[in-house]
Amino acid sequence: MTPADPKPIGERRIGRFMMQVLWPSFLMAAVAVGVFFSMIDPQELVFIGVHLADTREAAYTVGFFLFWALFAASSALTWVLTCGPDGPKD
Amino acid sequence: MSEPASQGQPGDVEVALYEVRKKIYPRAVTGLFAGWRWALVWFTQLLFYGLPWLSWGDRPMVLFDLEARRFYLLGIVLYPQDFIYLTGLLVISALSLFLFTAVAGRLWCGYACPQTVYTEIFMWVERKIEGDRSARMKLDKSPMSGAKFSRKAAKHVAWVLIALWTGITFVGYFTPIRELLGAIVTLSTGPWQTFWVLFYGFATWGNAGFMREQVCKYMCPYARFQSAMFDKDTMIITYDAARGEPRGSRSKKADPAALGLGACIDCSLCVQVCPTGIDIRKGLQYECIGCAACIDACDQVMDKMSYPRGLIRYTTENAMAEGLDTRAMLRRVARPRVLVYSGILLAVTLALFAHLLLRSPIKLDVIPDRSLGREVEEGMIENTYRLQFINSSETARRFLVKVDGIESIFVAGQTAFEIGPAGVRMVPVTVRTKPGNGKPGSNPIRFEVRAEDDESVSASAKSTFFVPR
Repeated sequence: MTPADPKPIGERRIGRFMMQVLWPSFLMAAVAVGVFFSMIDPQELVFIGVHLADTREAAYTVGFFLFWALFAASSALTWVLTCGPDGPKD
Repeated sequence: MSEPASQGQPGDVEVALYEVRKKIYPRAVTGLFAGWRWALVWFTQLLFYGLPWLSWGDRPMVLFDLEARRFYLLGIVLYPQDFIYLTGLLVISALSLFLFTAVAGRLWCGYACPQTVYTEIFMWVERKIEGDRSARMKLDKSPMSGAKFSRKAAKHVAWVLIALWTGITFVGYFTPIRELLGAIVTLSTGPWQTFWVLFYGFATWGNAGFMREQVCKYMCPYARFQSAMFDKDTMIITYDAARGEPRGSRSKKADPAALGLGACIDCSLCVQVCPTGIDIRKGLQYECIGCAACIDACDQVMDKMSYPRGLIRYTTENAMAEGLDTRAMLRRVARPRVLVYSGILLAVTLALFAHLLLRSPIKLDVIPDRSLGREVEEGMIENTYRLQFINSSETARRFLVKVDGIESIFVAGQTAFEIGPAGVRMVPVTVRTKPGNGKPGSNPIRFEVRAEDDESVSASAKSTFFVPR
């Protein structure tokens, strides 16, 4: 958004989507990645016979984005089911 | 998420969910509460930017070493198994929030929330470079010119520098910050470090530079359920309508009573300083983040007019209705809701610290080998186990392993193991018993480890001993 832009981000659909779908799922992904990797060491994770992680950091980051994507899908479904593709009216 | 999007994309349909937001140009404010807010900006940011630089012995004082799966906090070493402490910390944070909210509304939002703090810092930069409220509005209305561009560019350079430093500091909690800076200088940071510095920096820049009050209005879950913690004795920022109305301008010398006016001179300063752009005179609105900027602004006006302060003030619904004075209002702070919140908070805090201080510096996990018991020489029955030691003290230690639970059961082979400071070690241990002891099938046994140098440092773990049928 630039100051010249008549519609700030919060008023646009893309902005609504970010605030109501991507943001809550981001918060939950942070919690989930903490719980998940405190119980499971990524170096012990073997996925279909493949060692996913070359470093633990990579595994944490990839895990974080996987969780984020999953939770975002969940929030997006809620968003769509609530009021159709435009998202909630309030 | 929190980044400002690029220019409106084609096909973007506007949904009129809220009134269209006008860009808010908060006027600078000084005063008692602004002073408190700046004090908290300094305090929280000295803490945030400073902590990664402090050392504890030869390591950073606070380090979340994700690569090694160890958390260092002062003299404590925490492992993933200690996740419960983080949970406890979150519970304490939530309870503190409930308590503050019950007593005086959105104290957290108005003074300590990172969103408020970084917005405050970014607005200060904006003010220094683009000028005060009216100058900023004029600048934004004016067509693009060399002078305008250079001001805007200077502001963004300053913002980006602050945001980058914030991102670097954030990653400095996970990588020792001196190493990180060395890596940045030589452009040899790892891909994930680079990613998180930029990601966190970008979020800071977007949230504090552009999103500002929209984060509080549309994105913050706390803003939506805060009212559940309010009651009629919660101190909230209130416009004293009985005293203020009917509002209207008048000269300083005029007697408002003679003109039939209240104390509000309708100067609209309270609206101009509001970071969320609301008019507090319409009563409490959910957008109000409790920053008390309007109180500071109004008190200054009241001083100029020689009227008593407090036309806008922290007060409670009951105090307004019953005309309580400040002392009577403060006496009601100690009400059941607040006492219950405080009691639970105190109990959880004490429990957490007691648990942390009393925890054993050694942890033991036993993983039985998958091969079930077998007979070895002289008819002895043998089971093998893998013992995982976690030494969360800062000294290397030697541990002795014992086992009991079945008659004449003993550890065959090595019984003493060295574990380095803050070390984790997995060792194979063989356990035998004479034939005839234990019943066929699984028998419960218990492993115990003790430090050689200190009898009080010990840990135990249960397992099973299998006797072939």
